[in-house]
Amino acid sequence: MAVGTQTSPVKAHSVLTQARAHAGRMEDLVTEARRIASSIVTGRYGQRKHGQGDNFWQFRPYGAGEAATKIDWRRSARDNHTYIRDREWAAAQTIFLWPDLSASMCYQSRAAQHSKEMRALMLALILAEIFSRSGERIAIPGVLEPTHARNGAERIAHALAHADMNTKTADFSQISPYANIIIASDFLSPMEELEKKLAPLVKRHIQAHLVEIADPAEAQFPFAGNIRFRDPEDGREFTAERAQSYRNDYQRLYEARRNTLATICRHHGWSFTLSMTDRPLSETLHHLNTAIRANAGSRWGHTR
Amino acid sequence: MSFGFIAPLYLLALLALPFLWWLLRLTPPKPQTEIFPPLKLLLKLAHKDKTPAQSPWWLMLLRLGIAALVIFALAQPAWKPQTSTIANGHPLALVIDNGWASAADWDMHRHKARALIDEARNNNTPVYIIATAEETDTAPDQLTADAAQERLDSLSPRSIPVDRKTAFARLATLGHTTPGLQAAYLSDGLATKTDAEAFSQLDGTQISPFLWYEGDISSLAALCEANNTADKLTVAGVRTNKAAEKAYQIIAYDREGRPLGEIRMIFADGENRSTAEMNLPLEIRNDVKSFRIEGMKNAAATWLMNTDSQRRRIAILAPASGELAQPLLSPLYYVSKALAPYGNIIHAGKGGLTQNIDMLLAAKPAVFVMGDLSGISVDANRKLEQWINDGGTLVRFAGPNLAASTEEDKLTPVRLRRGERTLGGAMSWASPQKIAPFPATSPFSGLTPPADVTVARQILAEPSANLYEKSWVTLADGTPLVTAETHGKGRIVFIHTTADPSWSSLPLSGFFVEMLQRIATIANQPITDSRQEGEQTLAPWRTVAPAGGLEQPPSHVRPLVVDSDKVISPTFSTPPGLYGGQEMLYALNLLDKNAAFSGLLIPASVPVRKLSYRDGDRLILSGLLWAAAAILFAVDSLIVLGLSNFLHWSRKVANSAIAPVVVMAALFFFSLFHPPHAEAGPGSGSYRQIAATADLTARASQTHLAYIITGNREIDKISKAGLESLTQFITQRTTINPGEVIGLDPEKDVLAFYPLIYWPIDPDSTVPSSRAIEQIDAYMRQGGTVLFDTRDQITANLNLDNAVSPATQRLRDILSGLDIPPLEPAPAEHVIARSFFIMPDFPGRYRGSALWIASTSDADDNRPIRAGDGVSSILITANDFAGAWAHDGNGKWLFPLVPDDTMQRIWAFRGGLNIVMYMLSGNYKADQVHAPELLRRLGR
Repeated sequence: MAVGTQTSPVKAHSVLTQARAHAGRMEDLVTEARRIASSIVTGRYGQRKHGQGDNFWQFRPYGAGEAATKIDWRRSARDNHTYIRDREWAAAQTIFLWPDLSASMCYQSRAAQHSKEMRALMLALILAEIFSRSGERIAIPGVLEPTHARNGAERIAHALAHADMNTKTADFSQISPYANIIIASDFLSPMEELEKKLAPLVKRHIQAHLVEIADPAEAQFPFAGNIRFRDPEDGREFTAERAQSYRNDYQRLYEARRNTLATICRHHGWSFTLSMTDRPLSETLHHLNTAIRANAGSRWGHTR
Repeated sequence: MSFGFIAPLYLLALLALPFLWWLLRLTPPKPQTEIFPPLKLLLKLAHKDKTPAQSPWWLMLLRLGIAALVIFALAQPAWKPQTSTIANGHPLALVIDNGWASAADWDMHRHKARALIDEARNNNTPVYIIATAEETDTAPDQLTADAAQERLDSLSPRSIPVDRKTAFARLATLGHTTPGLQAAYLSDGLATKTDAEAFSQLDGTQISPFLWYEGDISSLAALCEANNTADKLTVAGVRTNKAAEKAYQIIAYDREGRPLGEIRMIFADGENRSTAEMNLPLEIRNDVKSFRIEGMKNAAATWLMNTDSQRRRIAILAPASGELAQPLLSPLYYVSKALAPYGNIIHAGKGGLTQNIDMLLAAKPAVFVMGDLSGISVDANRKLEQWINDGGTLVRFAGPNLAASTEEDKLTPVRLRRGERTLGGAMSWASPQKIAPFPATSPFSGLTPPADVTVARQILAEPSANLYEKSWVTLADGTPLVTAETHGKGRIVFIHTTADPSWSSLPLSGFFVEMLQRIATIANQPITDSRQEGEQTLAPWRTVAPAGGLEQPPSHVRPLVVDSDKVISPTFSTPPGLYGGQEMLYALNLLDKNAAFSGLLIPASVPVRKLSYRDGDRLILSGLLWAAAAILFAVDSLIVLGLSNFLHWSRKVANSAIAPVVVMAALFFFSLFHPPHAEAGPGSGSYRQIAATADLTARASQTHLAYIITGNREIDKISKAGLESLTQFITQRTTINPGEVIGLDPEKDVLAFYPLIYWPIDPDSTVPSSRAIEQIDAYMRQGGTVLFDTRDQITANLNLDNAVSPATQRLRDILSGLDIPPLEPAPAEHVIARSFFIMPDFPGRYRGSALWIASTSDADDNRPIRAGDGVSSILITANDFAGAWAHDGNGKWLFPLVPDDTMQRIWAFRGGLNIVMYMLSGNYKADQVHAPELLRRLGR
């Protein structure tokens, strides 16, 4: 029995026959996404600088030309200066989501709970639900324009169902600067290609969160004996007479690739989260939650 | 002579070999197709070798060879040298030895007998069966082959010697009455004393042919004597084969069959006798009821101990009754203490003196110890004398009563001079006397005289010619201290001083114990009162099983009549065994101490055809073929491994699969060519030991934080990650430099090296074993601390009905096996909250649960800091410390906190540091906390 199977991807050209089933599946996903999302502690992300918001940020001496209505008289009454009460800027952010739904994602091994594609889709929907609920604007580059809606998950599901994600390559050049993007992919394309793809993000100072979705079979290489490997992306084949003899070298390469990716992320100040499909999705969400907060600036050692 | 196959149809499978050749040759295994997204990575490794698509021809040949060998082995080739042994048309008399010597080879003997009966069945001849160790009064019947078969199946070896005389008398009778009789004698090969007589009975009979199967006694070994001497057990053995040195394991058993000790009996090269000495404590020695040669399957390999080498009954009679009320003040207290391990002590009741003596003598003691007594009635005196003449040993002590008595006392070995000699008395001594070296005739001559014993008072003996001969122990000035005299079979021993330390320091010395035990050892055991019964009938209690060991007596065993005058030898109805009641067991053994084994010889007058039991057995060769196939298969595996790995041999010898295989093969060949008795020396074990010691040294030489492995991988990962980041925090903040975090299995690992063990409670895991709990208990007693974490504070207030959470329940289960001090939530002024940081509480991933700690007794209000003595051996929290500490190593926390407060994580680390600091410094910090205040005041 083969270790892994190719799962059926979302095919754009068979919309008519599969849209209904597909939409139904999306519906299920949205329901589950809501369930998980509701169990995660969320909140608006303070910008740690003054601006428009509800929370008190600081008292600041009144400067000439500012509106007199901003003066906090209670504070000013305590001494001879005039103060303005600043509020923390809690502007809604635009968060881009990019679930990679290419052919290589349609893979599920025996040990995994579901396919990588399913994981990416779920993650995107859950995040959409979380963010739209907390008032952020969500978008999918090239598929969905930044939207502020309460039913973010449905919108994304709808948009993804109608886009041909299988052939679409990520185009990050249109993303607005200083936005956030969460990319869920297996990042298995060659590193140079990947770097080229991510370059616009660096240029535009976009805060990226990379979630690598990996199947346990890819990490552990549990193959032995005479095996013909086929790449789901381009159909290339490679026959190994004794697959187990490749295991150690392969695992080294695989780890090295992940380390390179993590290093790139650290270099740009991005977060990198690993999501194995044999581990529960909530774990990834916890990690992602911690990572996003860490990037927001509160990290042990820094505030001390 | 023939060679054939038992299952020749399997050979048809050989036809499939060419097909197999074709199959192996033409069809390489089809690769399995696998989808593999990271193929691009794999392609980078594509320089790797490929095995040849076709195996080389010689490998094919090897594999075909294996297949052929397996097919031949399945067909079971057999080599059968001989077919027919008995003559056609003659009635067959089968004489079978089923005595003790045939027990080991009985299966072979019976197999041969069965083969002979089968032949008789084929020839349609009647069969007579005569067994040599059966009841003597049964005459052999003419039996059909089937009936003979049944009769044979009912025979079994007996634990008695064979009686050839009777058996061959019957064969001779049969030979006279049955014309043309042929006989087959399946002997056990062991000669008996009546062999010549037995075979001479066959003179004049026309028995032909007479087949004689000679038994093999070369491996026979048996026990022929055992003695319980004063300080050891000696066992003597005998064997047939003198040729080589051989060692046997002798095991001593008690009456319930429990092994008590073992010893090697080594027969030297060229010797067929040997003895072994077993040094066991006296109490255990007395319990030894039987010896067995380990692994020797015959009745003679079991030796039974007789009662006379067992514990003696010792009667003690003190001068005053009321002895039992105040045992410590009893004058004979030292005597009973000294003799208690050596015999059953019988004390007198509350009756009068004569009555007591009667009572004690009725119990038939071996030794009668009498304190300072005088005025024994004539009647009692007579009884005592009678008892001594029958073999009793009377031990008397001197004392004031005896010194003051005026009448002549007959029960002393020497005539006593009235009045005691005292230091500073009328017959004055300069100083208390010491004991002189023992005379050569004394039973104590092997012992060294104690230097520390001094005698201040004694009763002197009237000088007489034989006083010196009767003296066992004398004082330095030549006056007797112990005298003895033989009376009939028994003796009287008199000790010229008291049994308590009032006259001398003798009872306080170790020599006193040795002396009394020596006296008791040489005392005779009056087994029976020959006056009352000439012979005694003893019921069988246990008999020796034919394969050795003891068993319940079979139904044909009759009571044994013991007559002290006669030598009893085992018979069919009284096989070797233990006879008698629970109290006194008489051992009937198979061999006597002069037993020797020699091979059975049949005189030339009887025309025998000598055969061996092994003749005519067919030899099945499958085993050899299987072995060959297995070896070839191993070679094939090696070749396959070698082929694929040879290219990388130089690069990765260490981690390739072939290395262990080569090592295993080397070991295999080593063990083949190495003498099999060479046991694994200290080598392998000590390497492991050294490795373990090095590991322990490493763990002991640095402080390590440790956690208990719950078996839940998730929890263990969190514990490890949490303690690792706590280690990091501690290293940053303090001079403590903890080593790597260690996971512990409380059942197997040594816990003593870790000051603090973190134990996350997993309600789903199994309850730790009792051994684990014991280890933890010992660890906590020795000053270690366990930090239990139920990790369920988040659910703390969710239960309205006050039910405990599963983790708490599990914690209670664990703690129920431990010795737990009273606990209290750590108060804010406890030293644990002050040991490094000042802690208001101890949050973890959750906040709210108190940190429970051993209660400090009676908080002293004057002291600002509370600290118990030492360190609390237990800490309990529900806040999930490790969850707060755990860090993934890439700048991310594994878990968000509840509530999500950055400061809470810092508090969690501070709490962890405080706990570790508290563990390491104890209540020392309770003093240090005043230092700034003291310094401030000093400065002022």
